[in-house]
Amino acid sequence: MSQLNTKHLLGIKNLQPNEIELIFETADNFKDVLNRPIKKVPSLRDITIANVFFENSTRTRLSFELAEKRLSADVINFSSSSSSVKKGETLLDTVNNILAMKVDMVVMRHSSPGAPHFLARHIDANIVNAGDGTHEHPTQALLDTYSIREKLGDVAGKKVVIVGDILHSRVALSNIFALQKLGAEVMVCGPPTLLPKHIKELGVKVELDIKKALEWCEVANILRIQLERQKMAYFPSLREYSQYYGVNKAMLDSLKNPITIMHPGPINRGVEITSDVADSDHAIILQQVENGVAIRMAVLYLLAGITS
Amino acid sequence: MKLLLKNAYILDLASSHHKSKVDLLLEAGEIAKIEKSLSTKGAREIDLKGRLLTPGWCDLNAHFADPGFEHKEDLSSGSQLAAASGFTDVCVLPNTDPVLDSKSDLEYVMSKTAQYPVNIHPIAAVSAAASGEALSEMLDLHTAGAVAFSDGINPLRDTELVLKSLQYLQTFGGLLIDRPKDVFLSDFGQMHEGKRSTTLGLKGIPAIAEEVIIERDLQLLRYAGGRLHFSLISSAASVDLVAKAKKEGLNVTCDVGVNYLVFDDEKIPDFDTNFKVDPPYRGEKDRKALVKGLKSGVIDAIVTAHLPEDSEMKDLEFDLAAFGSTSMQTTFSVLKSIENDLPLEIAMDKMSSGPRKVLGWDIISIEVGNPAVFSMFDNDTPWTLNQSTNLSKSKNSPFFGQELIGRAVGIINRDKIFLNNNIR
Repeated sequence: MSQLNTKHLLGIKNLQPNEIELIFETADNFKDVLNRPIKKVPSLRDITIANVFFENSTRTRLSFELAEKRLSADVINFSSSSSSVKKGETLLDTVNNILAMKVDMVVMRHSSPGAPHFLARHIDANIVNAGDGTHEHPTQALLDTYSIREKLGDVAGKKVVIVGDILHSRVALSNIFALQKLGAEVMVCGPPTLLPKHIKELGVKVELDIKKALEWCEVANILRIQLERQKMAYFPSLREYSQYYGVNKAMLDSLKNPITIMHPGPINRGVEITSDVADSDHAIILQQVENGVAIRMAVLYLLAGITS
Repeated sequence: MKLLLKNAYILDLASSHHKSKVDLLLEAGEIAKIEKSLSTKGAREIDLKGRLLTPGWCDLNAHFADPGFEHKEDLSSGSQLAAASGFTDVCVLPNTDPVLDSKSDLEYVMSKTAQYPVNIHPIAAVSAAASGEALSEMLDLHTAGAVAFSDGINPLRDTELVLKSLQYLQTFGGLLIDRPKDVFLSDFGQMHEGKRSTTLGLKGIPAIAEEVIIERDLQLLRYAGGRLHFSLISSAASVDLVAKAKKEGLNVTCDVGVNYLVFDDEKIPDFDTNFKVDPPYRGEKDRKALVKGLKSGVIDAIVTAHLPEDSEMKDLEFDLAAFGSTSMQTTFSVLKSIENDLPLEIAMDKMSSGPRKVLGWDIISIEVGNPAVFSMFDNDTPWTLNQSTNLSKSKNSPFFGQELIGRAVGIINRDKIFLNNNIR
């Protein structure tokens, strides 16, 4: 296999396992490039990419921008902290305006689930979903599973627990799809109000006790508690959450086997994870960030080859 | 005026001519003769060539968006659409602008539609401006022609308002219609809560949001008496709750939307807003329970839930798009498509006699001496709902662009006749 079967990366759900493998292999090559003195390749010269972010983001936008620049693409950025729909301009109008400036690819983050799918139905450019509301965040899941593969050699057969706000998390959903496609066992852990009622139907295990969950797993992906995406209180207080679901050093030390700690960032230090855990050797949080650039280079590179 | 209907195949459970092919002579808006073969000089003749003839269809749930949203639909386009879809009677919901909550609002609707071939019956708001707060002037509205009382798409969230309405309506035996939905449990919900909503990352509208309100309303009905109708029940447990209440002898009825008999959440294409409806299309088990509920008699009527929306409200990100779909024109095709599950004769009954019984009206079976109020259908002709065939001002139909089988031929409503091109 040398190319993807899709023109857009809208989510992990419709990717085939061999497409994920292809992205990983391509990312391996780019990771080599990133460790060379000259970190730039001409692969996407003359390709213009618009990073359209309707929601706040620092690291994802930076990571995409860096990936694009390393590939020699021309980059434009559009950020709007609140959706322009509220200002009277529709998403479609906004993006059509950008496309009128002859843009080849759009990387979009939006607060509405399915917003990139909506765009894909209406416009011709390649679209990369950089997070659509509570739906998917495919490049995050790709870099997460890529980081597991790097650290543990393989994803297949590994036990991974995702901890925290599963209900509002696009990272969780994309990770569940990616991990399952690659043959990992997945568990979710959190207070019941933060777990989707029907999550078991996706074939994941559910554990309410964080200690038991960590004891079970080889990798724990600790999610940021997304207060901003919650429309009402799903748990009484951050204090209580951190006491009963926060991961701390003592808890890690008490486990029979050492585990790998991941976090998609940005970290609320002292809430879902303590500093001594985030900064410990167990954590591969910064490797995730580094791999993010290589994964995004791979995705952009592979999609640019498909213009149909 | 005399009219001779030749070769009509009658589908009417209440008629002695059910499932027989007959000729009918209509005189002065009534059925003068029904015989195997008739010929009368001087009568206009329509040869149905074996097409279906049923008592006139009556819709309990349609939005014609007039006054206020005439760019989506209006009373004229809606009535044309209704006649062409086989409806002789349509009850329009009060969610217009202004809301149908005063005598003059009803008079506008009734006077504007008085000459149309379709009878348009206003359902008046229970609460002023359908805001769920103060009671509307229900006695006055009843006198002005309101056939029932409902806040339409707005669920009755205030328990005391439901109680007071049930009590007050008893002064004239009026019917209260609630669209059962707990607004807190369904807040921000986009589709049925299930595996599908989980994989799409969309906030779910759980079935219990409907069921807890049905239980609440039934308790209130037990306490207060009156007549209560549930609009658009959508879950298997809702069917059970109504079944038990009926068995107990409570004066309760309910309806189901026609598209809910064919769609379930797994069938919804990813983020297609023409499938975003309220209540949402639920699971396959629920869909089956709705069909079964019609057969067992628990569900009294099938309605269209025709809710036109323009592209500015629909061609959007899923969570920003409005709820609702146009559905009137495809009603017969949908019922035809499920005739193996739901025999057409039962479906026809739930379109004509069922809704009339809910409203407390006499049923009009096809017998000599009864009013000539008919719907006529072509059983097997394929057609496609598209830009040129669509009769609604809006096109937010989940069937847009699809080929369908069977469609209405037209209606006869006493001395008024409306025929589609496929019969002329």
